This record gives sequence, structure tokens and C-alpha cells, in this order.
Amino acid sequence: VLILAACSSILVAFGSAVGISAAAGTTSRADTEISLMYSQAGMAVSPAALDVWIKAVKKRFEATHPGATLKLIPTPGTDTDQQNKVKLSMRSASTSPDVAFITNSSLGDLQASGYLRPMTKYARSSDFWKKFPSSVKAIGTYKGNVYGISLGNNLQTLFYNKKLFRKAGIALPWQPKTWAQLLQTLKTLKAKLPGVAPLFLQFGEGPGLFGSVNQTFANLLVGSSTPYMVKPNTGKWVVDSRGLRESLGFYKQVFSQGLAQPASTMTGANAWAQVMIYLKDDKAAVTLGSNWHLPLWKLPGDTNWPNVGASSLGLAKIPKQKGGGYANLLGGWMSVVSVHASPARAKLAEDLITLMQRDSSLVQLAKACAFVPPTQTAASSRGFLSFLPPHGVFSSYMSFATAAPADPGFAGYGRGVLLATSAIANDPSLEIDDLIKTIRTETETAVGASGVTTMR
Amino acid sequence: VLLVTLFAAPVAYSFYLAFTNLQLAGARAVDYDFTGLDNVWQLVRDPNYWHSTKLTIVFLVASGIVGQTVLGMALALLMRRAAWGFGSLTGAVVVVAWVIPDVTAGMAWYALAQPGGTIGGFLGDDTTNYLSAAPLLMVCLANAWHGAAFSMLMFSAALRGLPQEVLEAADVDGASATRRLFSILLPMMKPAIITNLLLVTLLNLSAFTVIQVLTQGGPGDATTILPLYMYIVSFSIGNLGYGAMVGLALLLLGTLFASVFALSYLRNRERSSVHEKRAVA
Repeated sequence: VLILAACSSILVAFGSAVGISAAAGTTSRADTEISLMYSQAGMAVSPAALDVWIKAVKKRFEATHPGATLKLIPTPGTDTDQQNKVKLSMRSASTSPDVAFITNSSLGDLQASGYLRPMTKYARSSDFWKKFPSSVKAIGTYKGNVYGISLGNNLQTLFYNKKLFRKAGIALPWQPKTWAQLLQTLKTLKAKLPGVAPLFLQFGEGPGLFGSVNQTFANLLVGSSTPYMVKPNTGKWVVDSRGLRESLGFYKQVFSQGLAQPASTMTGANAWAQVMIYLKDDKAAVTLGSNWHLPLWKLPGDTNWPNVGASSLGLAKIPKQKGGGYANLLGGWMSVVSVHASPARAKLAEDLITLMQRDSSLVQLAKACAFVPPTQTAASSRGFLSFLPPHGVFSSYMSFATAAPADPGFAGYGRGVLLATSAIANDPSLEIDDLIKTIRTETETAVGASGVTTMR
Repeated sequence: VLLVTLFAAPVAYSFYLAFTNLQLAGARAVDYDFTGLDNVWQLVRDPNYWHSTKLTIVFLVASGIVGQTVLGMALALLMRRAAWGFGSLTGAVVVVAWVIPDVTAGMAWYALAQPGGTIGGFLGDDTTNYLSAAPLLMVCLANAWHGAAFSMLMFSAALRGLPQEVLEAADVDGASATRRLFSILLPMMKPAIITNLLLVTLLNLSAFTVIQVLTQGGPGDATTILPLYMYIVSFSIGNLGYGAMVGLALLLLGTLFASVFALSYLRNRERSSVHEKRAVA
């Protein structure tokens, strides 16, 4: 009986967690108050700066809308915790925020739930939308309708340690054009710099779905011979393709040949920071990282960013497998409006978004979160570029970046890739077929067998 | 009314959810359906579920049944023999390890297992990250360390309740320490041991926080025991219906272990009553 009671307690918690919000009824709220749910730590590299930004937004919103109130709902924890809170809160009108900040990977799930109010007409008539590159527009668009307005983006690059490259005798600036050239450089680094990891590649639970999948693996996949996470025009997740196998093969190659860091470095909750720590400590020569890793590049005594950037840190575009351009997966955070918001509150919500989309506001937010601002004008503004100079490089990547898919089910696919890449990094003798099975199993758990496809 | 509201209703609701396709978010987040045995078939064919079940059994046996119980028994026996002050001090330290929050225990073992940490220093290898090299062993050790006080307190109480004349008679007869332990102490403590095993199993079947802090179920899925798998399926992948089914399977696993201990307890009680009747006769 005791065992039953103990195990049942898990079910009690489960039932309560799901049931309470599902059972909640509709309550009316004043049409002059709107709420905003946002992530405190999951979104910002400087939560204090984010706090300053959001309070300034509140103050300006209430000043420009006399009688209206903006209620802030900060959520602690990781970005995943924040997304789950939004998903659970939006189940009922009484708990739903009017506006929420979400990551691009949650957009499809929330839209498919029917929780999001389309903003197509509003977006297309706004000034900021015209300044969005097509990839930025795409991450907030699903089946032709706009549901999310980007707040800031993440793009990836190959960071490299110029000091180590000089030591290895590799000509600077360095820019590999194909995966073969990249691998050749890594082999040279391994031969010339014993004890240094030629490449640092994120994987596993530490960096999570964003770090391990969106901001690492996917940047190889979108440069492979079948660059699709979702098969075009089908909405089905690609669980087996030549490109998927090529990308997994890249991991197998670098980890089996000693061209990447030891797998044990990725254990622990702060694994995401190792990308820059390894590079600046001269323990890795090349890392695949994002714009938000830049603030972690600080050498003892460094006070002048431009000099540091110029002398020590190099940035190279991520090559496609066979050349012919460069790869990058664009993702980020966006504002969405709940379907539960009354027309009057939805109008206030759109006004709030318009206010946040001013270039000066986007730049301030980009500084707090180390984002690349979504509008081309803010991304190329002096205010943004002078903050961390190499950010200008990331701004230029938006022109060729591939938008992360907005389809529902990313969590399952991402979990599959996370497990597969973690497995191959820890045991490079594994067969690619086994990793493909893992990706299929996890994706099917999220979207069912009918939600997956192959592109062999 | 309270029992129905706070216990029976959520359990019944979870039981129902286990047979639906409810999602955390997605097309089936609001309009979900009763899907009959679909989740059962998925569970049977799910290699990750079987992998997690194996890990759960290993974790239960290694950390709970062997680790906490053996460690708790050893501590209780040593404290019985120790000088009063030393025994009390040891007991207090062990109880502190028990009462500290799960998150703190996890953080402490995280630090211990890092390269250059105490474990590496103790083993003479300060370059190895033991959470990567031996993740399951580390979470078993951390959990056993965190929960050993519970068994220790139970066994200490049971030892105090044993008839002293039997133990003194064994001393007088010159029985060795091993003989006294295996032929007198442990048989007399059998009801307490079985009860302890039952309760330790109960506690360990819902272990979550320490592992989440230490490894988040990784590397890969190396430490994803069923409570973590249930969480991942429900709140990372977002399949709440299937997550509830994993919870139901965990309940069945618990029932299986409970049945074994309950049968053992009943058999032991029957034997005792037969002995008592014979003694009376």
C-alpha cells in the first residue's frame, strides 16, 4: 500500500500539474491591463540589464497609454522552464498572459494548440516588418500566417583562436570553404598543437536543445546535401536523410579521430559556457558557437574589446559540406499574443510590440541578451556594433541564414539529435544506423509515426 | 472529501490521461482523444522505456536496496559499538546528509565528481570527470549517501528493541562477531529489514532531483531512470498522455517490488507465529 501511495504521488503531482490549468475556467479581466510573461535568466546574458530594459518598456507603455497597465510576469529558470510555463499557462484564459516571449522552436506547438492570435495584418502593415530580413520573417511565420514577432536572433560562427593558429602556422584570416577544408585544418592543428582540442563541438544535456541542436548540429545539417529538418511542403520531420547521416558522420569523424574536445567536458549545467572558456584558455583552437557566446570572451585585464577582437579572436563562416556558400541556422526569441486576449487587450498588445520594436529598444535588448537585433537598421546601427564589435559579423550572416522550422514537434526531433550526438561523442564506434533509430524513436514520441518522413 | 480531492481525483485523472494523446502543446493540447491501448503498445515497443526500466532496477538495487540499506545497517551497528559521543556525532553527520535539500546534495556530489574534485583526489586521478566516466555509479553513490540516514535510524531503533539477554548469551558462549551478526542480529532484525527495504524502495522509485542536478539523465541517456524519463517525455518532448503511461508503468514496477517485500514479510510473520506456538506448546 505504501509503495502504491508513493508511486501514486508522482501521478498525483502529474495529474495536478496538468489538470489544474486544464480545468480552470474563463475569467474576465479589465481591458486596460495586459500581461507579459518573459524569461528572466533563460533569455538574457545579463538578467540585470534585461530587468532595466523591461521596466523601461513598462514605463514608456504606461506613459503612452494613459489608464493602461502592463503587468510583468517574470519566470525564473532555463528557457525550457519558461517555454513550459507559457504552454501550461496558455491552456486557459484565466492563467494565460496576453503577450509572451517564446523561442522559435515553441511557435509551431503553441500555434497548433490554437493558443496564438495571428498577427499577419498587423505585422505586414508595420514599419519594423519591412526592415526584417526574410529569414527573420520566416521564423515567426507558420503556414502563411504571422504569429511571432522576432525580438532578437541567434546566429552561429566558427570562432578561432588566432594565437593558436599563428603557432600552428596557419594563414590568417582563416575561412574554410568546405567540410573537407575544415577537417584538414583540424588535422593540422592536432599535429602541430598537441594537448589542444582542434575543435570544440557542443552536445548533450548541458547546452540543451538550443546549444546542442539549433546552435551546433543544425548548422552542419543546413549545409549538407539534404539540408532539411522538416521536408518542404509536408510538415513532416526528416528522421533519415543523406544530410542527416553526413552531419552525424562529421561528429563521428571528429570524435573518433581525436579532432574534438574530450566528451567529459560537456557534463554539467555550465557546459554551454565551455565554448568560449576553452577557446580563450588556449585549450581549443576552433569552436562552433553563437553570438551570445561573445561576452564570455574576456582575457584577464582586457578592457578594450576592439583590440581583443582584432588580435585574438577570429570569426569564420560555417562552410557547407561541398562548398558553394555558407550555412547558418537562424533562431531566437519572439513576442506572441495569446488567443485569450480580448480584442481591446490584443490591440494594446500590438501597441506594446510596436513599442518594443523601435530600433533603440531592440539594441538595448540585444545588449542584455547578446542577440542580433531583428531589423537590419538596428543590426547595423552604431549603438549595436560598438557594444561588441564582432557582432557586426553576425549581422551580416542574416542575409544567407536558413530560418529554423516553425513546425510543431521540434522537441522530439531535437531530443533525438541531442541523444544521438551525445552518444557518438561518448562512443565514436557507434554506427550511424543506430543514431538514426534514436532520432526516429524520439521524434515519433512527439509527433507519431505519421509526422516523420525520410529523404534518402 | 480531502482524500478524494487531493489524492484519488488526480490519480484517477492521471490514469485516464495515460490512455489519451494529450500534448503539452500542439494539435492535441486541447482537442485530445481517448486512444485506447495505443500508449500501451507504444510503451512495449519503446526501446527508451525498456532502457530506463533497466536503469531504474539497477538504481533501486544498487543505491536503495544495497547502498542505503547496507550503509544504514553498517552505521547503526558501528554506532552501537562506538563510544557515546563519537556515535552521536557520527549519527548527527549522517542525519545532516539526509536533511539537506536534494538540490544541495546534488550540487555537493557534482563538485566532488569534477576533475580535481575529492573523488579524483581520493583515487589519485584528478583529470577524470566521474560524472562522465561512471555516471550511474556516481548517481547511485550520491543517492545512497543522501538517504542512508533513514535506514540508519530505522536499524538503530530496531537494534535498541532487541532482547539484550540473547546477545549477551551469544557473547558468553563465545560466538564470533560474524556469527553473532548473521545468526542472531540479522535474523532477529528481519522484520525491520523488510520494512526498511519496502520504504527505501518507496523513496527511491520517485528519485528525481539529485539525478537531475547531477547529470540531467545523461550523458546521453545513461542515467535516465523512469521518473526522469517520465519528465522528459512529458515536459521536454511534450507528450503528456504517454508520459502519464510511463508513470503508470512506474507504479506497476513499484507494485512488483512491493509484492515481493510484502510476501517476504508475511512469510516471516507466519514462521514467527509457528515458532511461538511451538514454544508455548
